[in-house]
Amino acid sequence: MVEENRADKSFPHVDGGFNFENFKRNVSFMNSDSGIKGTMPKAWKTGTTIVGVVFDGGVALAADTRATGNVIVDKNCEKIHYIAPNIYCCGAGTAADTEMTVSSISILQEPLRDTHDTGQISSQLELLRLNTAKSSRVVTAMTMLKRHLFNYQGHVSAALVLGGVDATGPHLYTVYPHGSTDKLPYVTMGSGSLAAMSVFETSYKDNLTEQEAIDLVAEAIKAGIFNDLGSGSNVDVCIITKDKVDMKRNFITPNDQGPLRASISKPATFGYFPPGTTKVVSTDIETFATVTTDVEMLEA
Amino acid sequence: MASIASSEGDRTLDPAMQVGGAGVDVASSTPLQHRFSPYSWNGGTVLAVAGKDYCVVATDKRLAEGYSILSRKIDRALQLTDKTVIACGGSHNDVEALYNHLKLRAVMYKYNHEEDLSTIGAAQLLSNTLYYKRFFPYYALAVIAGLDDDGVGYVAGYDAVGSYLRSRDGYTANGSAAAIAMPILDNALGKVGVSSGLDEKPEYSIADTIEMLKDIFVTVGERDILCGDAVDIYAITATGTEHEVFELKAD
Amino acid sequence: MDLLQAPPRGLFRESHGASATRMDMASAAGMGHDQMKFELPGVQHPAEFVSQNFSPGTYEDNGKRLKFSKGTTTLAFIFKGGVIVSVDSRASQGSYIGSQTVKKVIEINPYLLGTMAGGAADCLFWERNLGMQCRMFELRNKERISVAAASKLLANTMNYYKGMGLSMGTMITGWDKRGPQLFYVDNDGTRLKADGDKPFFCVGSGGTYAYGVLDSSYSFDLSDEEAIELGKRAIYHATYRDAYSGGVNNVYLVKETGWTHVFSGDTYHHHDKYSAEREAAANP
Repeated sequence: MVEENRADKSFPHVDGGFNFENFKRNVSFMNSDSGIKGTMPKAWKTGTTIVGVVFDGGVALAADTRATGNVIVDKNCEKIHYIAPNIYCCGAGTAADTEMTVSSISILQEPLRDTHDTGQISSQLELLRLNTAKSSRVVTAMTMLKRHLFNYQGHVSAALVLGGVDATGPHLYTVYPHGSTDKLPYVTMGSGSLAAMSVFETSYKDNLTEQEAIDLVAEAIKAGIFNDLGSGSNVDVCIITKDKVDMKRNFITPNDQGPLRASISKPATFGYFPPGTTKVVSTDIETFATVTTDVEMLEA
Repeated sequence: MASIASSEGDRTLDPAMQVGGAGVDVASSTPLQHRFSPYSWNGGTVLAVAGKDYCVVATDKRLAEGYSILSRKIDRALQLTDKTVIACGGSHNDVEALYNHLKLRAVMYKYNHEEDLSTIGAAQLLSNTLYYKRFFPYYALAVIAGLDDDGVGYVAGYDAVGSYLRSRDGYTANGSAAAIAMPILDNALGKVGVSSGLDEKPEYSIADTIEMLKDIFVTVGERDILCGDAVDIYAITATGTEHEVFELKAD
Repeated sequence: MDLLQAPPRGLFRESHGASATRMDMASAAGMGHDQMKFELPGVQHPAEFVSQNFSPGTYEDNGKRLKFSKGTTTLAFIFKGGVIVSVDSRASQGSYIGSQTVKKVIEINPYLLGTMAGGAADCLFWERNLGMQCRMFELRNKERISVAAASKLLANTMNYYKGMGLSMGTMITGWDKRGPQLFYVDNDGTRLKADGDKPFFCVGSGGTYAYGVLDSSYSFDLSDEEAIELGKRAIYHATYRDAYSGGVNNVYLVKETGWTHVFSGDTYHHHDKYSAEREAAANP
């Protein structure tokens, strides 16, 4: 009975997990031939290049920073997400799905009573560490991610590169949207994965040093940035070693528009918006009443 | 329903073009539907600005399909005569076919009339050429730029089936990033609508116009993934046409 | 792939025993006459295919169809002083405003005007073609074509291509032996004559709003000035309510001596005038 009371049907999200109440309506919108179809909102994609490589003593992850909708919606977004102090994850696919799946900042707080896995992975790992007093293992994060993604049969559109260093050493995985995984020494994901992989296949060798690994992943991301239209802007790199994480945000910025702009001597009147550019049609001033509350202390 | 420009990503399309007889899939014994998709969407942005005695047209050099870059140095513009340049975004196969036809017609015209086709004549020719493919259009989003018979700058934009009009305020945009570039041009040069409430719009020199177009392309390249690599700029004056290439970002 | 070809209806009229003319004109244009045909896609049912794929229909936002310019308010009415033609100038391609400065009145010849609604290219091409046919008529018959005949030529062309996805809603107007004339012709082949006590048409997405104004304020006995003002007012109200109409308002007046372009002004500025008027009426 307690269960039923908690599940207030007029607020389905209270029950936890995804809310499907508009699913049928939206399907009929998408199938209709009317104008509404063109006005359906569109999820941001991280048409992306993300890569990872295992080196001697650690894991290097890297990502580009472009997010695409109908146009480029974010020129410097973050695609390397925190999972645990020793584990990070690069996300490709629908931006919201990758963030909500791995992120520690959980808007979709889900009840703990759900025994099957639908939680935000970093939050769950945090709780697990508090319960067990042991640092997280990469394989645990990977298993939680694949269960979550398999559960939703690919509808959660997240393609991930998961890397970290735990008690058993450095590990690097890819997790596909349907829940399958690979464990490899060098991996790429996203729309720029082929361009990035060609760099790995050319230059990868076993037992890379940390610096070699950084240079290699940066080069792979640059291949994606310049040859894949879904990827662009800057290179983010994250180095995870046994006792340290080094997040190199905007490690390389090969697409600064500053020099381009500087080379142009445009007329001063161009692109200048003087006051009055938008005409004021009418003015209406609303005066709000000020409400004050006096508090009187009552004697005991 | 069926749609046309075919590629990937945002523009994933399913041109339900059933051609020829239906074959039979032996394994399942169901009819096998044959489809063909004669169009692709290769991007391409064209901007043109006309002045009192000049005309500038600029178009990017990136040829894209889906998320791939097929070329960083494609020529989208056609120098039809000394005084006329045409540039098109859209499906590049159709654009090339259209150019081949127009080049032929311009040469024929010169042989027959012993003078170059005028810009206004070329504009009507382009319209008719596009309209003769009304029932199977060239997927070419064209802009024509040049000098008219009085030496005044002439620009006109077209839709895929030849609807065109000389731009009253002397600027036009077409192709992939037209919707991003147009408001910038409206603000700088437009005289109709909300922006007409402003003071007189300044008259820019040809050098200023070129710099302005470069700046717009840098801006547009920041937001449109199909636009980038470099811009071809053609500056048309009574003394001839000058061509310049301006490098853009390659990402 | 065999390219099916539709003969070019109305381009050159062989029925007048002028097959040589056709050849001459084709070669003068620099092309063989076999090229003067409309190429059709090589599919089993070209008409169905064409009307599904290449007609201006409901647009999706992101280049999913070839976008043709469309969207309009146009109106014309007969009154004692002649015919008023009043139009907006916006061309929309989906939610994108393709142009704010389209000339939607097509000057077929000094005595004939056509208006443009629906597919811009269809109107532009076939009204230009109509101009040629009207000129040919004049040369053959040594007199101007009647508005009724001109509109019939266009209606016949539309009927010939019926079902092929052409999109056109036009008003053909002018002054001939029978006085001021106004006809409506569309891509279905419909042809209507404006007469009776409400001799006017409004065509386009904003047409319903314009009808509201005309129905309440029209009278045959308007002076020229009043008629021009009514034309402006109807277009203003249509552009105010219809997102697909706007830009510049062009007004033409047709008289016995031919048409004149009597007004061209930004509808954006009309708003100040008409809203001040409304304000004044509300607070006398």
